[in-house]
Amino acid sequence: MIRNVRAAYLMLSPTLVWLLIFLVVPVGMIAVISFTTNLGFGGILYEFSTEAYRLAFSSLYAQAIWQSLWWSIVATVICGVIAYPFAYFIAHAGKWKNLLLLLVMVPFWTNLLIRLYSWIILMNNQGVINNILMKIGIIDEPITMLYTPFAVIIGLVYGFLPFMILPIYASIEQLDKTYLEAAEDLGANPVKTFLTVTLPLTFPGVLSGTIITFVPAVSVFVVTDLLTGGRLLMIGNVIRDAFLVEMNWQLGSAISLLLMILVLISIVVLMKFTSSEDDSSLL
Amino acid sequence: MNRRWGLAANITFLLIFLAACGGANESATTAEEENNTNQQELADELYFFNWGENIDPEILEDFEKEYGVKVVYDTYSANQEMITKLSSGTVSYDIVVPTDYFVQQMIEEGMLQELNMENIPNFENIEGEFQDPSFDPENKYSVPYLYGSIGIAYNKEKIDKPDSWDSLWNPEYKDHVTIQETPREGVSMALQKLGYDINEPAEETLAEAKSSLSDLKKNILAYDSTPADKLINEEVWIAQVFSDQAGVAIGENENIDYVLPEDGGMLWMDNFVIPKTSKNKYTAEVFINYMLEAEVSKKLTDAIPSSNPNAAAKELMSEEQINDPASYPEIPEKAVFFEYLEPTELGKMNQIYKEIKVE
Amino acid sequence: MREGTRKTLFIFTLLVFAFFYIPILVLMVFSFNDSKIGTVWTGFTFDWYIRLFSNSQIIDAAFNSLFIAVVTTIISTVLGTLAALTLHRYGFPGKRTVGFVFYIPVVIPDIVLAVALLVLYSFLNVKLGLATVIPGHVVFATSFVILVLLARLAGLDRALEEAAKDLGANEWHTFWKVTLPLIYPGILAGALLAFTISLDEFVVAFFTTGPGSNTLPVLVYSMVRRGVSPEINALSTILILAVVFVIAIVGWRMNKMNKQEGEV
Repeated sequence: MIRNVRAAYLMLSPTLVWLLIFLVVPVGMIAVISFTTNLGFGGILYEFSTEAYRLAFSSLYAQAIWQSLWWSIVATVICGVIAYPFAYFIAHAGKWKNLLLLLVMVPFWTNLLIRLYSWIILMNNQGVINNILMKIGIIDEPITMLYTPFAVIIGLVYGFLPFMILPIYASIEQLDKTYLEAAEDLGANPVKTFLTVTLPLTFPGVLSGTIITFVPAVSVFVVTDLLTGGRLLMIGNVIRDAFLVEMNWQLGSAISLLLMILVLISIVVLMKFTSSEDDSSLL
Repeated sequence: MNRRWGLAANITFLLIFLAACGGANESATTAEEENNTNQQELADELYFFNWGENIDPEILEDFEKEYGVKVVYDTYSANQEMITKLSSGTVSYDIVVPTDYFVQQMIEEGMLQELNMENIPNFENIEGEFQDPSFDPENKYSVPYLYGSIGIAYNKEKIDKPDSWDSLWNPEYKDHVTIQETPREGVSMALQKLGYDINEPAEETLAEAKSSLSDLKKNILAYDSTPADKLINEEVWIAQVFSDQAGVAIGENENIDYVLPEDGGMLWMDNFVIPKTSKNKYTAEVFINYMLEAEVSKKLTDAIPSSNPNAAAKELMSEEQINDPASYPEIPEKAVFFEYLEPTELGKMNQIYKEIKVE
Repeated sequence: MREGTRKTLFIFTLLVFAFFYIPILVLMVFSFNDSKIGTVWTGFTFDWYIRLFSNSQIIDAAFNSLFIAVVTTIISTVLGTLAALTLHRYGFPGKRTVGFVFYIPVVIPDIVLAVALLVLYSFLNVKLGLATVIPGHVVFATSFVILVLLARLAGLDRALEEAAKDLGANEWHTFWKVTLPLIYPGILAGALLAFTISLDEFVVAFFTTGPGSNTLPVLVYSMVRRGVSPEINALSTILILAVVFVIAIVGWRMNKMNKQEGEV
């Protein structure tokens, strides 16, 4: 670790200035707005009010937040379980790894809405999956997949899997094979090598992946809209509706700020539990 | 020294960036002043902000050819999105298309310019019953574009013809019902079913509506504003739908029909308006007038399934178009337009919907 | 890797690719669907492709999206790389606060940033255009680049850089010849992520784009009330086939070169 304050800030300054102008200042304005008085339809009266926070602390939103967190955790764990071996294979594909990585990303260059429509076609009661399963004779009655939390999880996993794959790939790719060979030479079995050498060495990737999968998943709203026929709510739906249906900027801002604080705290806790003296984590 | 210089360079860069973003439209303020004088010259460009999939692009091209005005065309998916963007003052459009009570709201917020009807002689093509609407008396600010109703689409093979909203509550239709995803439409249906005025929700009537919707939840497959696909594949037997969605479904599956319930059903109408920030009012009026020409309006109907309030255009339509049960159904006396509600009242309706969903 | 493990992993990878591409196949099939309704099959047609080529709105929007995604990728990759290197390498007062700021874009719901930027632009009297979408996208993308790169840097073998310096290379030279090649896969992964995020983002784009500069996701989202036109499926089909075709060609040539090397 080099202590050169001037050099550090010089290198950070472009990014910091950009974020200051386009993130910190506007979000600060939003924070101020959350304490103003709602005139309805996007109207803002600059008079101090905590009404939005009173509304935000209702049990309704707590329920929506709880559901969102729970589904996102499940989806993140599934993403991790799928992404790790997948990234491991790609990282060991030699020359082909960059092409394979590109192939992972290509589906995500098409519009999310029409990809979710595909899932509707696949999962609905008269859909492709049910038809195939009934033809083979595994089931007699169609299974209801859409409109359920199952559909939400599928949607989240499908939407965020590459967010997990990329950072894990980036850290597996540089794994020094000599360590692994050393472990094997010392007579460690593959499982033990994996658990004691590979996984700890690539843990920063898993951690980054977890954060950039879990956090955006919490506030998504298209997935619940399309795959559950609006039957289920995530906190993203609540925030979107506050801004775009009710045009209550105060309420939307207040819920968002509370959600952000909650998520940031959980990241800090996650870091505290996982990070060693290592400087890879930011907080 | 070094660091300070670096920061300064960064800030300068960003300011230049911001200036470049804004530079193109610097002339905005001067143009606004001209607006007050009665300009009768066509502008080079017309900025038109419309609902997505709400026009035949050929109409825009024809207008461009005929008048030599380039139409800059953008789309939105909700009135609120359009209003949020307009009222921020960061964009200016010459024509936008709000739905009924949003017109009223925009008038009250002082966002609209009064129309000069001398430039829109084709207004007389609009059927009498759609002139002078409750949300804009005497059409001072708005001209009808397309309209429709909210009623019941159902599958003739699966169920009997429904006569009121109450049919959606029939336990035999469990898991084969959809209602609108937007709270106001859904809650209003419950209010109407219970015999209340949808435009005057009171605390007690809303509470009743809520428990009624909560009973309905058992039957509901989805809260869906666009259930045409589910009607077509017969997953859904009965649905609260916008008439144009019903029209699409009928077009693909002949078992489907559309009726307005005895309780009345709701009406909606999209309207042309000219925002205060428009710099090309005259051109906008010429365009609105063009859109009201019988042939142009007929062309719109060929492409878009909503109902057309243009009597002259209706004369040009085919039998099939006129007899379409979704576009021109029997409209009961009791059918009503949505009117402006206080934000707190709308807020309560939204709350009801969310509470039912997380129950 | 042992042969057995390798085979299992290979099959697993194929399955994951199937998970990625089956919905894409469905989407392609429905670009030939005779109905406007996106989820019910009614018959075969080529119509949507013909209409697509005369629909300048969609084509323009696609180019706008591509432009924004490319610019966003370049800016955020540079900013993100600089920031990640600094955070990894230097200790300085305020590091925690800086790190905290870098997490905000990941945590913030997109609609909040969208509305916040609209408030900012409104306050500064900026007229919206195509370029005004970029700041918001860069804010998001930069944080993702930083997080991916930090994961890479955490496993970086410092000894190599120090060896280079001991051998007399200056800092700049070390960076270009040693550090950059070592972290390059991380930068590539970050850039891919930035491009992907920007290309399909619609909330920030809707609120910060100006007249005549719709992006593709904004256009598609506005179609929801009437049903998304299968022209979008047609466009996606063409794009995906084009990219996969290029990937296949590159792969085929690499394979051929491999074999030739083998023969020599």
